[in-house]
Amino acid sequence: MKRIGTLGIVALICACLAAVPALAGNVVGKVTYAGAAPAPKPIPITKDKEVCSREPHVDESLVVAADKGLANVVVYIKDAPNAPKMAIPAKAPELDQRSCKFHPHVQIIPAGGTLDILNNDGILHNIHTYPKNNPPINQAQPKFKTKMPIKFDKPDTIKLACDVHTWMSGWLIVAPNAWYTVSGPDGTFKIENVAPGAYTLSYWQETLGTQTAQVTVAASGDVKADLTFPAKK
Amino acid sequence: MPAKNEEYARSVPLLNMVFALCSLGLLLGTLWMVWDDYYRSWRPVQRQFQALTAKHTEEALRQAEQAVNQEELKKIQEELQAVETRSKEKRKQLDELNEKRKRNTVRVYITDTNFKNTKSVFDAVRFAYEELAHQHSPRAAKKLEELHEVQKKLTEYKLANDQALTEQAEIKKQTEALVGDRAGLDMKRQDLLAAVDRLQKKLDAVAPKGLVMRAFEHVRNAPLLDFMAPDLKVQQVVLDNQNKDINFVTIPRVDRCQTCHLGADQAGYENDPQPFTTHPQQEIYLASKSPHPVDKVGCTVCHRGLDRATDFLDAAHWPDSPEQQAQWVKSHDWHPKEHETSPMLPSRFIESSCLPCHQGVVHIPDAKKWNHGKDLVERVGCYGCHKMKGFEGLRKAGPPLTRLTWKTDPQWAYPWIENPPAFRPATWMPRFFGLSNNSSPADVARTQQEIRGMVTYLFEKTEPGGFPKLPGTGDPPRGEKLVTSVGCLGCHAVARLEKSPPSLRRRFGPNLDGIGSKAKPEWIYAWVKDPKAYFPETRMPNMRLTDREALDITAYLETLKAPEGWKPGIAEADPKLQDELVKDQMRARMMEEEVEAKMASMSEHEKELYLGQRMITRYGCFGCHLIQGFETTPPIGTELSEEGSKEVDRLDFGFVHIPETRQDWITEKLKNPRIFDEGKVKSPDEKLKMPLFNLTPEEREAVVTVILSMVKEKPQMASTYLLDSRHKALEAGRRLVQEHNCQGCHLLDGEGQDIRVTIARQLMEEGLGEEEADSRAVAFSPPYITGEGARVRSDWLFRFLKDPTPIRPWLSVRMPTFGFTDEENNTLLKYFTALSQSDFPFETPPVQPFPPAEIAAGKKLTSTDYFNCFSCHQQGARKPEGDPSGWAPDLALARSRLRPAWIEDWIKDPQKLYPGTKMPSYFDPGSFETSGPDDVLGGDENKQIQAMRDYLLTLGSDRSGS
Ligand SMILES: [Cu+2]
Repeated sequence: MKRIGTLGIVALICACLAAVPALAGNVVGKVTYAGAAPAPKPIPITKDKEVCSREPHVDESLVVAADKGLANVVVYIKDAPNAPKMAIPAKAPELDQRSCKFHPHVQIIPAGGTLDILNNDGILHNIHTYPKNNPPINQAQPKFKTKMPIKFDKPDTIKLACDVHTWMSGWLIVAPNAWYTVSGPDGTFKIENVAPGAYTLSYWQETLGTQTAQVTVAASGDVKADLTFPAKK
Repeated sequence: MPAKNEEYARSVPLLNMVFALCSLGLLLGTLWMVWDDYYRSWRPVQRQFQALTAKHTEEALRQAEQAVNQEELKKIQEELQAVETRSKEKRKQLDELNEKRKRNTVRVYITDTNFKNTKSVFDAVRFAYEELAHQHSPRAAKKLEELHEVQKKLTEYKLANDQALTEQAEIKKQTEALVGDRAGLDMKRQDLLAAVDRLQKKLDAVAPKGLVMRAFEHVRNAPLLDFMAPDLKVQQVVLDNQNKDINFVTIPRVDRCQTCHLGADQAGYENDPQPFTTHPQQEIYLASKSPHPVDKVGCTVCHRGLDRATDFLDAAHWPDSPEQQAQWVKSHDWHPKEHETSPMLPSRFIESSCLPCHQGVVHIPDAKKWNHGKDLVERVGCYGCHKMKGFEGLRKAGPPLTRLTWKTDPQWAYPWIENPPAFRPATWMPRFFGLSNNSSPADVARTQQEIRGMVTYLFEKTEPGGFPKLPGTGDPPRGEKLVTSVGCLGCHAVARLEKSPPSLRRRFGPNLDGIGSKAKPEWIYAWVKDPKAYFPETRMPNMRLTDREALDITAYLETLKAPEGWKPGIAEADPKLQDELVKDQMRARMMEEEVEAKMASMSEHEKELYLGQRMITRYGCFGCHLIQGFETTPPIGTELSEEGSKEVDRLDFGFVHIPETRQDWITEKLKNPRIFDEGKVKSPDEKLKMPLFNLTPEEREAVVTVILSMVKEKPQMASTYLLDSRHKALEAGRRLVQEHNCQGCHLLDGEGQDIRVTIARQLMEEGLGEEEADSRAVAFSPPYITGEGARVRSDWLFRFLKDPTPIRPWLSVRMPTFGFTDEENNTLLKYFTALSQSDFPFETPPVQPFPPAEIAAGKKLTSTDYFNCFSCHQQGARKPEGDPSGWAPDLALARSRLRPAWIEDWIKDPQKLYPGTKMPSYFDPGSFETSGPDDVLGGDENKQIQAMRDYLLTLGSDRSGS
């Protein structure tokens, strides 16, 4: 009898918590790279030169700013079973293959959502994915197919490539929840609306792998988390 | 006077007593007999099974009841109840309607009969009229009149019948309006409860309820009465086409196993304990539609044991593991059945029963362990010393030793023969020395002289000559790149490159470890350039290496040295011991004086040679190697062709305590081939000499499975698996595929492409993530060729197999030149077409000119504005932009190389034909109708694909691509 009573009270509290606007803080910070910034390596364009050379191509696998800020790092809260699902936006996120380059280089999309893959280059591209959990895709996108919507159901880290233009490289993060973000060109990031508590923060970069850090989020306001990748051997 | 009382020889009361006792004894004896005959161990087992079935049925019944839509059932029942109530209330009206209905039924019957009768008259008159009219007979007019008459009548009856039927419907409607639709509701209720009713009936049958029924059960199973219709009875299948040899006479098998194994052929007992468990893989075994239906194949053909037995011990069950044995001892007081020549096979060896019926195939479908064992027997070369049916005509398992000086030197050969795995742990060469019966100091001293003799013999009996000096020096890193990329690793392994143990197909060629300490660089160079020049029968193909490449590979292989601690060198000569050994050998063959005379006439070297020759004879080296002087010597081992039927008492278990079965003996023999010498006093020549093979316990079990499968008994033709011409073509091809290890590189017949792991490894070393490396490795490995017969034209394939040319520009791995004969080539062609179920052998390419408009559309679709095929595909001399690693096959070859139907299937959905191909999908199989461009050929995807196919077929000339 007593236990049922306690349970009832707990349930009631939960219900109240759900009803009122949740208490939440933000995780903000900057990712830096401890090693020397690599000189931007230009990529030789060997095919469809006219279209592909409309933009300069440099190796984007490790982009470090002058102040060591590291771009394109995916920062997320690990093991967060009560994190809210990432909302599926009304307008699908886009992946543009403009000038034979994936824009953006690293992108986070919600699981169960659709990605619009754009081809306005007027030439053939072919989107080739190397997923862990979703079915692989090797789909040609000729000139006449300017938009190709593809749905991604399962959380994943997916390498993107184009077999026509072998230098094209990008990443797609299919996020299971909303507590995912990607660092900007200066290495800064912000994960918003995180429920208070102690968490493990994971951060991943395509060539440097995954690192973790501990973070405690307060009921409101920002908690600062400055993250570093050790120099690559 | 004699007294009136008669005289008896014996006392009557006593005799009465004796008779009484005798009859009582007889009665008791009879009762005991009946009881003994009646009480069998299988009866309680069958009772248990009935209880189990009842339990399952009750469970299923409960589930079925739960599955019933109770709400709907309640509704129907309520409605039925309402119908009932209303019928009672409106009794009078209902009776009236019923009365009406009865009258109407009569009316319907009469009108219907009238109509039908008249219809047949009408048909007859019409026929008669038509005949007359056709003959222009004057009687036709009269007949027509008659016809009209009958037709009028027919119409009348039809009308009457219709009216009656309308009335019937009306009455039904009125009844329903009055009380409700009882029949419809009943039907609905039955539908709802169909599963429940069926299960209830089944339950009533297996577990009768009520006193009478239960009493009946007892009576019909009672002793003496059970001849009529007992439900407990011996279950048997008589297999008159599966005879059994019981010495001098063959009798049909009568399998009574299902007397206890009652659930074996029924689904639903998968999780029940034995003897009731459902036999696994019903789609293959026991089920009536499976290839092994129980009423044709039975049980003991595969499981062995005594077919007619109905008792656990009597059937000769045999445990599969010590745990099972302990359990059986507890539950059945198990012990080996005395004098049983064919006890059951422990389940781990069950696949040894497949072979008698599945003769003449390379692999037996689904018999994984047996297939593995067969591959191992071929690899280790058991057939070199033991004659084995089914392994005749195979090449010797080891390399020829007739040009040994060209390849290596005695300093290497001596320690190699003494202990092969010390030099190369993963070698297939077995070990003869340093084993349990020849390791004492005296044995070692003796065997050292024996090996010296063999080495001397082998290096003396060698063809003179050698290979020329290397034309330059190679670069080891470049050589390593070649070895890991051109395809060597499809058949060879190198320990330092491996992350996990290589598969059997990657152990097809010798492991390359230590090759640099073994072979001379000149030999390696000559060998990799042209293997057949040194060893015409080798399976190693020609990789078409340039001089530069061959030099680099040689330089790399030279870096693969012997393991640390391994030393080349030969044991000291011991002339005194050698003399003794030589004499021992001579004494067995000649008189003492002759021995002395012969010894006196021989030099030390001649004695060494003689000893070597004797030892090669003794150990049977020529079983696996071609050796001068032993070209025709018969093999030295026991024939194994009927080893699986060999009487156990003919196997010498010596003083070794293991279960006395064939499988235990053979397993032990493979584990330690000299073990049965333990405790015996033997001269060196009498000792066991089978060498120790480098096999894991799993591999040993697989080999034992194969040896056990070689039995004397031949099944009747009717039950063997006969090959039709398509399967014969398949098996002949599979034989060649096996002999050339095609599956080391290609995925074929659902198996193979073992080289892919090495390519994925390579890609990961180049920096790719695991998923990407695994995925890309599919495209960067040699192609899948299961569908080759549907893909390419036979004439093209014939030329390609003779002289391969690169098709896929992105591949570093090369299709080698195997040097197939015409016959082999044709066998492979037949195999590929049989595998794809395509037409054999040749077909004309489409010759009629295609409609120009279609070709124009096809050309447009392949252009940059549409599918842009030539962005990656070559077209004869026109090459795509970029690096050749990004190019795709030459479409100018399509006409001579590809089958038109395949081109169509390929464009439609390449991933379906070749999961993981580099070719992207243009049409979406999920939304095919909308996935092509809308402005060509009216947006019809099928027409678009055909147009592209036809356009591609116009490219190139007939003769290109040879
Ligand atoms: Cu592209």
